[in-house]
Amino acid sequence: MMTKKEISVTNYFFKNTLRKLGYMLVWLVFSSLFFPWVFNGFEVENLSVNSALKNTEVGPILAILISGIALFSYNDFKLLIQNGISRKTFWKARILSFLAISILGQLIAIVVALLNPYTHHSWQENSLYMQVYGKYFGSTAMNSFMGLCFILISTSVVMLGAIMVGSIFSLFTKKAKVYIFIGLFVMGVVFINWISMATQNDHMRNAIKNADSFLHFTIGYGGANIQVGKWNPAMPFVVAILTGVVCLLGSYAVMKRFKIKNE
Amino acid sequence: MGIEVKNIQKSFNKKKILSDVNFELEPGKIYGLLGRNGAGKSTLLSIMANRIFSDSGNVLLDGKSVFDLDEALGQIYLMSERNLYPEGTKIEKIFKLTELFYGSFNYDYANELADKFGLDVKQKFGKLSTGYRSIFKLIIALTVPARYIFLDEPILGLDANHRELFYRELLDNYVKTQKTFIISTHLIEEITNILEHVFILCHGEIVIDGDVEDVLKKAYLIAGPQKDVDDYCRGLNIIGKENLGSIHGNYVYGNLDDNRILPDTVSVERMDLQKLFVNLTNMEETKK
Repeated sequence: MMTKKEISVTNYFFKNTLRKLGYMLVWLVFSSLFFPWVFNGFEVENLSVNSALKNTEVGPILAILISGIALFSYNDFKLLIQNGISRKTFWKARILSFLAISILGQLIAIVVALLNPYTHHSWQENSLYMQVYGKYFGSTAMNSFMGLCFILISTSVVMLGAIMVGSIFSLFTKKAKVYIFIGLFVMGVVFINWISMATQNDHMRNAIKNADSFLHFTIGYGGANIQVGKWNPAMPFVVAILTGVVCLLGSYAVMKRFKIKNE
Repeated sequence: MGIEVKNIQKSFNKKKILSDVNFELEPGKIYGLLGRNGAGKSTLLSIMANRIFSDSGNVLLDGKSVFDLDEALGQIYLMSERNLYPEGTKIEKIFKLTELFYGSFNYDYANELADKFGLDVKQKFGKLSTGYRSIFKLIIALTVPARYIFLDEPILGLDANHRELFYRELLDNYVKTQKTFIISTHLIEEITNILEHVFILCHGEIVIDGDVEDVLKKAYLIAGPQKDVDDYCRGLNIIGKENLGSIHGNYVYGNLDDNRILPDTVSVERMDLQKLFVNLTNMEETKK
């Protein structure tokens, strides 16, 4: 049961995010037309809205855009704490509204794919899940249902991850964030360098092999003798749900520490 | 009932800002929170409004902790120098957001105040000058349906006319709504007549907590020739001294006992709140 305040804040986040998303989609349509126009030598005749639409993957684009919006929590926190809203309500409303938008976005993407003649009225064709696990169950309907569930769960998990990462960065001042980004960039470069060097070392090669086996385990890889499409989807579901729970609890723990920064 | 501030402690970078602060706010009073720059006033108000966390202690509203509780936080509004409203949002839209989050909002009163102060509600918050940002936040503070209004430097950037108008509207609002106001400001002389109770914060501690009338009853300026004044003040709590030519003055805070004989050469006058504040905080500074 939600309180009146929780409903108000959830509504606010929902509408505000939709507004931002709408603004982003306008830019998306503009850039989908702008780049083909530029690369076609500024010829209007060569510009095709249909071909632009054909090449637009609505589901992943919406998932990325929504996750992008979810990264930025601090400005909303400032407004809400000014208006007597607790961190718990802030967190709850944010999670609920973004979950709703994320699920809605993917359902819209599926409808768009079904209506789009260029995608042969099918969303399964472009679904990585359907390509890898889409023949696991004997029934096509069951496979499609599980595929749909996986899309909704995985995009929600990505969005929850974005909320958690964004909330962690919200704890730091602008100056600290710059230092963190520099640190992460340096760590990334060192890591890539380490990986490339590690392949020349037997001990490290074993470690990478173990990591590879673990990755196979998490994606439900059934071995070379099992045809792609018939892999077991249980592990991806388990991994996605566990990651979602960790991100959910993690974002709550971080947002409980939100405070107005001196900057 | 009311707000209880219990054992609040706060340090920044190992520097103690608030050390064991305790006081109570009764409903329906106007309080003054006075202190020098860096005394911890804004920190204290931010902790009370749950914007930042204390290292220890608690703030209770009607017996319930305000920390992360909507019910309690919805009864508090903190107007501060910090601008927490979205820069790109119009004032009239912020009124609507305030209604959404606080549950109700008096639009007629807000628009009436905006007219009186000359604030354009179609303007974006980020486009307002410092003075008009203060005015906008004051309008919200006076119209929001919270019972406890904390005003941290409310007259920042306001000219004399707007300050005068604000004091009038504040009193009018107080009489009509019986809300509790706590005002933190440096312009003590201007607000003395408004305040009913005063807290003086010095080096993170409350050094005065009392009704203004009672506090000022114990604040004296003893003036006359130095020797006579010093003899008369022996054993009293002298918080400051001043010389003007041959006239010497001792600022005393505390009761003067009746047995003390006042020489003809010595006069006893009342001290105003600003003088008391200056002398008290200077004395505390010297002690440290």
